[in-house]
Amino acid sequence: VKTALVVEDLPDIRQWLCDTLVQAFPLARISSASRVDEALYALQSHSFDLALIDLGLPDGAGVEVIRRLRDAQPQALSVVITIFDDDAHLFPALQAGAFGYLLKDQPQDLLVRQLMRITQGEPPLSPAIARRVLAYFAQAQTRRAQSVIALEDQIALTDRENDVLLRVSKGFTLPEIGKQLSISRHTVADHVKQIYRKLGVSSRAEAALEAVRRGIVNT
Amino acid sequence: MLVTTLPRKPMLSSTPIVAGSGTESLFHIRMRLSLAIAALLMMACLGVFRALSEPSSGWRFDVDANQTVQAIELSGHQRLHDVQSISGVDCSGAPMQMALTADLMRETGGIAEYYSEHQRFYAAHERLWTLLSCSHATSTPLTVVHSGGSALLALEPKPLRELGLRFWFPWVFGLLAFSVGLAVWVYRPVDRTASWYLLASASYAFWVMVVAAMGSRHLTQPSLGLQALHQACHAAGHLYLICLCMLLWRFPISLDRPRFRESALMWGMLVWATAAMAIDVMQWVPTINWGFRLPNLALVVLLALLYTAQWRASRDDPLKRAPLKWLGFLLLLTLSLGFFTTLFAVANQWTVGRMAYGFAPMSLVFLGFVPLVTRLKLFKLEVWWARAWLWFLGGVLVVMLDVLLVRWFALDGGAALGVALALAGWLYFPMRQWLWQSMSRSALPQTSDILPDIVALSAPSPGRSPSDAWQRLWENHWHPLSVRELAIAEQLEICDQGQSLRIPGLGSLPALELGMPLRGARLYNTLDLKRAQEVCTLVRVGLDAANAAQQGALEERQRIASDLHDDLGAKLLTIAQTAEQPQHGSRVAELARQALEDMRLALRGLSAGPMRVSDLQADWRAELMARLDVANIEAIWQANDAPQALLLTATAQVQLTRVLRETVSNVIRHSQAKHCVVGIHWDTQSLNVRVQDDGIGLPRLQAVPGQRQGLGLNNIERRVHKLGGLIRWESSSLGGLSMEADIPLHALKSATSN
Repeated sequence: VKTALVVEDLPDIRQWLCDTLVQAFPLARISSASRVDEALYALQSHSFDLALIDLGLPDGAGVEVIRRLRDAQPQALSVVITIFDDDAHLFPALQAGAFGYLLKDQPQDLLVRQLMRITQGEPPLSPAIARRVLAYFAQAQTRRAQSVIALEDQIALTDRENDVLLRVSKGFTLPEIGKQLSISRHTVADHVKQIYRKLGVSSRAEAALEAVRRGIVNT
Repeated sequence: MLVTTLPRKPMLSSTPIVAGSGTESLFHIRMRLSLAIAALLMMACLGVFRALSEPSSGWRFDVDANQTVQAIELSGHQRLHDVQSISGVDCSGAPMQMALTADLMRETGGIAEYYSEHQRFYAAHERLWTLLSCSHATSTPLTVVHSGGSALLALEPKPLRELGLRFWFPWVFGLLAFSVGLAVWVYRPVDRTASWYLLASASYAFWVMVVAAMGSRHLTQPSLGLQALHQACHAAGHLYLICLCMLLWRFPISLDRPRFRESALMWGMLVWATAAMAIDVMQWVPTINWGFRLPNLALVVLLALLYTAQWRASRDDPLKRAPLKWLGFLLLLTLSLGFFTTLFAVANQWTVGRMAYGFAPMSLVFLGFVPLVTRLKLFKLEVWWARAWLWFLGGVLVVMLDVLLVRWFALDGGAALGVALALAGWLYFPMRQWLWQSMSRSALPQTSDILPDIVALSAPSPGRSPSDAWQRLWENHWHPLSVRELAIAEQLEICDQGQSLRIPGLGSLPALELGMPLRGARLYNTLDLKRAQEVCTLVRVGLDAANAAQQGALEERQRIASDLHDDLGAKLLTIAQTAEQPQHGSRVAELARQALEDMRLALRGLSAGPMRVSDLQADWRAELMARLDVANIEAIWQANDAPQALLLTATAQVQLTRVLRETVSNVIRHSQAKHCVVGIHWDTQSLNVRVQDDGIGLPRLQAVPGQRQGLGLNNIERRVHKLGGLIRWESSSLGGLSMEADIPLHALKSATSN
């Protein structure tokens, strides 16, 4: 990680997050923003490898920053930082392209460890979010079946990914799942990564499809 | 309180219901009553004597299907077919013979169109009567020549029992009509409409009596006056209509004008009827159509005109319009009955004894008049009226189609009736639907229109008093002449003969009295009552729901408040105290994080709905395993499959999560354990939670002063008790501490789980 962006409106927390990033990635160049418009401005002039984004910003939702970052700089990792880890808060952000989330109120060393894990391709996935993702893909399946225009095949989950997701939703940890499926912990993490990617891609594709459909209706 | 002050119509002056002036003595009433009873008896006897004046041979003559005359034995079922002639003696004792033809068996001479035929009919009957009465006087039996030879019939005075239904049916109806007319006259002698009413009923009764006597004859009726009676019936028919016209001149509104008074109408009609009767009696025209039917029809047209005038005059006066509607229906019904009976009789050349069944129900107009005079629940009749109209129209449609098919398409009777019924069904039912809807829509507010106001009423907004909204609801949809708050109204009811509607209060909403609906253009009826009942029910349901929602919101707020107070408050207090001691920095951070977790949970309790037990268990597993893993304690998860359909309330989710989380936190922080077993066991009645470790155990933990409080054991205990459960700590078989809690499911279950 060479460049990172922190989007957080509370100055103390912003500083603390910057410190955490420095601890995790001592060589990284860190920018910070306190508002959506500042963050969007920063996206225009700089490219980032990592962005920590708070969801509740004074001039709008952090989800918008995540979406723009995904569109403008697909290589960047967006990570949600929040004090609410429930699926209702997080799922829209994950759909917009966020690759994992962190709870702000954890001790700094724990946060550093989790951050390292995410950047190494091992994002966290709670049972509640796994259930949401499962439901989303199940619905996407039926939507696809009804849709006139076919979406790309890659957006559907593979059987193995589905299997992993199902086990996560039942409360099993990633090492446990690895043991159950006789695969390495890294392979499980890869599956989780793919699930995140497909969630983002799928929702983007559907948004595009919806736009096309509306266009057809309008003309 | 807003009291609508719309221009209130003056209360309609209604004529007294019973008896005229107070000065009238009982003697007068009694005298009139005696007179009335005498008249009634006279009328009754007149009919009976007339019918009994014919000597009886024990046989009755009629026409069979082949249009030949047949004789039917009254006591047995013997028949003599194809009767050709009848013979007896005349009054000089000379033998006399007469041919019997089907024409002679017609109900009356009047069925034929030409007066010449009437003459022949009545002349033949005059001779028949001579034959019959002279044979009876000389005790000569009648000889009947028929296809099978001849028969001798002895003559005797007609006994009462031979009169039969064809006599008694019209007789009873005629007397009923007459008695109603008499009753009105007895109790309202000063009212001139009552006199016209009496005269109408008398002329009707007279006419029906003649019809009864004629219809019940075995062969013929006394010659003296047979044709005269027939003509008297015509006169009665004119008089009946004249009386009804006079009635409609005064009822319900007097149509007197300075330039045209009641007397002018009366004299005009009398002159018209007299002229018509003169033409009829003198037979100055060839057919009865010109001599009687058309002049009579002209009176019907006049009646219709007068009705229209009354309708116009009463357009702003629903109290008078209501009886008028009813009267109109009655008139149309009876006049159609008369019209169609005549039409059928002429078209099918009815033979003796049938017309009475058509004419007798015409007395309904007099019976139907009773509610008009007594003003009995007229507002109810108003609803009735519309239904009766539709019913009546259906009948008329069938009859019209039937006649049309028989006359113009030459179908036979049975087929025509079938086709007519089918056609009428197809045409009539959609039409009725449409008519009924348009009739009821025009006047009655629709529930779907009222619904938004009802919803608004049950979702009160600040700055708008509910009782104003309540009042406005009735105003907007019924447009009453006035709205008045009542101290109390026991029940929903129509008062003052449909002039007002009383609505009972609902909860804090006041009872109301509404004046006439549609700004006084109509009366309240039973449909209004039904609709108002619906509205009241809906409002009550809405208010109940709103109250329940408010109650629920209040309880929820109290729960959140107690959560914040018990958990967050206590933790923040501890943070404040601990923060003053600088060496406890890390402890403060930990407490603050716990406070944040508490807040997260409290918020989840706010926003989350009921949750499936299996999902909750998965969340617990992921969280506890991860935390124990981070703390380097080997976690062993032992759980049975949660019941699939079980849903837990948000409160239960939060409390159970806290119990588990805090217990596991204790294990991590204080036990120095290497292993931890978390057991969750669901059965049908309860949830069993057990957390065991192989750490230092309770005795050594409690040995540290103040530790029990620091462990938060009290908090855990409180939560379990709050859920109605039992908790105990003991030494674990693993060597450390064991916590076990039993919580009954009924306290956790969401209402939606099954």
